Amino acid sequence: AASYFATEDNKEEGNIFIFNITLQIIQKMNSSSAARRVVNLTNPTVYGLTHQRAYGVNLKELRQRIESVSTITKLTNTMQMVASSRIKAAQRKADQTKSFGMGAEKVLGPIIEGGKKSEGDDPVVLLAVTSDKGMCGSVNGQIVKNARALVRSEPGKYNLMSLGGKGTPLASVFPAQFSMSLKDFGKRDLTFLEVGLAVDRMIKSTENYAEVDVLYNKFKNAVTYVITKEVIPGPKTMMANIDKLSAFEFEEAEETTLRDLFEFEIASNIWIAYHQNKCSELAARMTSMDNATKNANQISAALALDYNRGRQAAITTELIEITSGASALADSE
Amino acid sequence: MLAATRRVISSTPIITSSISRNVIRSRGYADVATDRSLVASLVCPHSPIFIERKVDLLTVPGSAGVFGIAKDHVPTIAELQPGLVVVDEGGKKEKFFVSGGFAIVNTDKTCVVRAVEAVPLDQLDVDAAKRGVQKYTQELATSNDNEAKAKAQIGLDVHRAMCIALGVSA
Repeated sequence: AASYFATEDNKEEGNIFIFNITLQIIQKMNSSSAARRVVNLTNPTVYGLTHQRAYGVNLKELRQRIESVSTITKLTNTMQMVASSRIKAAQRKADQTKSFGMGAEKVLGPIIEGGKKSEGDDPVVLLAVTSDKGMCGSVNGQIVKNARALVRSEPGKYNLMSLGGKGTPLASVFPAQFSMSLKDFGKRDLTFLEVGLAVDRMIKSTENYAEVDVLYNKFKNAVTYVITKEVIPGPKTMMANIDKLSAFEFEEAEETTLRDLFEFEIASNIWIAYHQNKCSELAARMTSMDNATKNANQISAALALDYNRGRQAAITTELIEITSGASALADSE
Repeated sequence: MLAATRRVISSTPIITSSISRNVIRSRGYADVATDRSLVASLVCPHSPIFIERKVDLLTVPGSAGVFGIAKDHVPTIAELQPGLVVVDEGGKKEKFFVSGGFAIVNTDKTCVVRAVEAVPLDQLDVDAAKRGVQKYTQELATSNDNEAKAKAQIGLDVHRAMCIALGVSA
């Protein structure tokens, strides 16, 4: 038997030979359910499965695939429609909230740009603004990548925090530096109060910060969003650069006012960043779900073609067998 | 057309130079109006109230006291207490009640008031303000720990300020 299968010319016959032998063996094993399933494969009434080898196409499998692809198409289409219906309102909100940050950039700008660092090793908080849900393109991946690069470049400097569930991969990469993650933030229409509470928790966790950096996706238009980092210098840094603020008159003690301004600025920046990021998230989800739907439709069309071809081939083969069987009978008579 | 404008442009230097010999500064009416105005903005988290509006005087409730901001005010950073922001424009006054925030007058003479909450004064409910004062006075008296006391104090301050702004006695 071994020598029979060795040669190239009788390879085809060899395959059929094995198939027939296997079939006879399995037909003798009546107790096994697997055997029964294999025997069913030879049942000519189950379309296409008898010709599994010949066409490499399993019609039942194809039907299941077509069903699952159509379910996926429905999901991605719905997600795209939901995102596109929400984006207008989110855009309006992002525009309205953007102006809340006015006025501080001229005060803090000189300190951020050319300022002296404060003494000591106070950490810099890097707050990554991410979304809670996925399927929104590169919005979250971009932030995580950026944050990772920043922390890798200066390992001892940063204290990582994440706003939104999708920032938690950072916790597994930098377990020592990751301190806080806020999930379901702003799930029910974010209020400034909620932001204030988050800042309160943030501030209470460390005595002093040298700086707070807020990393988010700034919304430009429905297809563009840019990674932006807002820097808020800490109270000690501000005091160290008090000469840059010499032009300003303070109604009360400089230190208290600057400390309060620091907390106010963090809240204000988180407020603005959250809305911008939300808008970017919706835009990214809209485009990615749109692409996914298009791809799924293409796959669905290709699968449908394959299924029809397989079905027709099975029917043709059945017909050939019947006619050849009939003619063989007629010949023998 | 171009030739005509060129003639006009070349002629004006002659005119203005003669004037400048006699007068320190020549101003048009439009210049006078902008010269007197302060460019002010009042912004809140949910939306801006007004941005870069030319006003004559802006009165803000600083934590160290109420003060007015006019054009050429010295650059200032002031924290706010609950109170009234009054916008004086051409003789008309607009009043907004703010809960707190910051007022910043920049070196370029623009002013931004960032309030956590700002509502036009006529939208405040007098009865609710009075009730608030009573409620928080009671809470302040009965509370034991520091946090509850602080909350009650804040509530009392805001509602008292509302009553003062509305011109009613608490």
